Amino acid sequence: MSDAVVLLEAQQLSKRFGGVVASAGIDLQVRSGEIHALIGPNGAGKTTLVAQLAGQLAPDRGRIVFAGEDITRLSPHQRARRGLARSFQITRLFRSFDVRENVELALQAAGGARMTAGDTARRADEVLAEIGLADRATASIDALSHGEQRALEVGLALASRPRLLLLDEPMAGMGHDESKRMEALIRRLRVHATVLLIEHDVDAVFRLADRVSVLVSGQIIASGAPEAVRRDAGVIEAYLGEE
Amino acid sequence: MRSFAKHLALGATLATLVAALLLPPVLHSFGAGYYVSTAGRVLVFAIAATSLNLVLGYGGMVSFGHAAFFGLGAYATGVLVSEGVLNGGVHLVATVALTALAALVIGAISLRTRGVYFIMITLAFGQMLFYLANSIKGYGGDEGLNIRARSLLVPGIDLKDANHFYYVALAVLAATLFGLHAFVRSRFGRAVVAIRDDELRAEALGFATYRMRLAVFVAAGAIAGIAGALSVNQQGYVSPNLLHWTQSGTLMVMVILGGVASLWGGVLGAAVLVLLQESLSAYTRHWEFWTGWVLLAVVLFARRGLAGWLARAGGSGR
Repeated sequence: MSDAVVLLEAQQLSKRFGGVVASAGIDLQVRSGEIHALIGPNGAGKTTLVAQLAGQLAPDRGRIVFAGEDITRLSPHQRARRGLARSFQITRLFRSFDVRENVELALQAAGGARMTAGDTARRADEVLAEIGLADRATASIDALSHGEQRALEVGLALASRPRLLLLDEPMAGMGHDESKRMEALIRRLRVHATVLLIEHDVDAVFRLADRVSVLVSGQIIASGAPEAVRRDAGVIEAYLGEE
Repeated sequence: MRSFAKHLALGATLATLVAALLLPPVLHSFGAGYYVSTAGRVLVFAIAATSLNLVLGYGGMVSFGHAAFFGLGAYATGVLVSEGVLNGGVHLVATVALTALAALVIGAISLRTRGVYFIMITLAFGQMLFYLANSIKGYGGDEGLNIRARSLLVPGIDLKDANHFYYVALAVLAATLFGLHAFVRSRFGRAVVAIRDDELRAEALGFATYRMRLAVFVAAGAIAGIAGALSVNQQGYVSPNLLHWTQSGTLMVMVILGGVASLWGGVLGAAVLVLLQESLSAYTRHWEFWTGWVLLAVVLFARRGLAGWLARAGGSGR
């Protein structure tokens, strides 16, 4: 942890919807190169936090700093252009296009105006191989299985090699084998990207993550190495114990 | 197979173009020269409906005020003609500038809303322009504006002549369709369709969705304006009713009838609706009632409109 450069930092993020406090002053640091997992029970405010980090929601108070720049007021596409990408818990793909075209659109969106058609095609091939959909390149989205759609969902986010990947429950609704494949994919990703992994599958999280933060009722109640978090009395009481 | 379908599509396009070019002399030879002006009306509406298909079909923006741009374009050219400015180039520049500016302002505000709110706010802006056109007493007010002269294009072309008008409108329609064809295949066009599929995702990936949608909205408004400029040249008259929301509804019916997000959708819809109106109104005052049944049948049995149905019949897939 000597080179623990903070890539993404949330400072006192607060967000309320009417009477519901979804984020109650969240402080979170994601270090460069790590897989940082965010866990918490349903309704803890995980999705709201991701939406604020990626720009879909504006926080009521607080600051978000990415690679040294205050990005609190930037739109989602401006954040994406700076290398902050996200996947979605509910699969969001471009249904008018086939698998390969989806990846090419992701590359184009992330600033690929400067990429030549050949570069785009080459990179799309790499991405398809990486997510295990090389032989499904010309399939329509509706022809994909749920697991394949989830793989492409993550593939769109990682296509442009972002510096930070926010993965919102990538294993949601997956079978055992598919989950294993996704886990392997995330493990490979860490070579070039920092990952903030929001995940419900606690076992997978403890296998993958370098550090874990636990979100309960809109607050981070623990943050640190997996073993430390697993033994944390507050975490056991608030979350792990009830599983 | 793919190249065969491509050749078939190209052949069908060329055949359509040749048929369109031969239509006036054929009609005259059958002593039905009167219908050349009907065909001209089809072309004008085809351009307007195609522009709506751009914003509605490809852009996914259900604009219910599109006729306002059509009417505004008609007024821009009509007012210039009535003031004695007859240069067609000036008319084109003024029409495009005015309708693009109006679309920029209306779109910049409307595109901050979504779904039903977008429909209602574009409808409201359209109606505002409709009442504005009604209230401008200097240019006919609610009675509309008659013009005696026409836009002067190049020497030898007289837009009062139904044949001349037909070929000018045909050229504009061909350019519009070619532009739409190129747009759909361009990187920008694919991005716009992706934004229609899932705007949240497109923006999260890095597309500047608001600006891109606005650009499409403005382009479609300007094309509708050019159709309006043609309309006033054909009719010699522009009425505030051109801007009325029911006219926007008519354009929308044309798009749905012809085929949403299909290149030829606007053309087919305009042709069928104008011809239904012409033929049925000879027999009954309630032609809209019977047109309604046709629309119902198309929506129920040809889900991608007439264009989709024709493509399937021709075996060229989508």
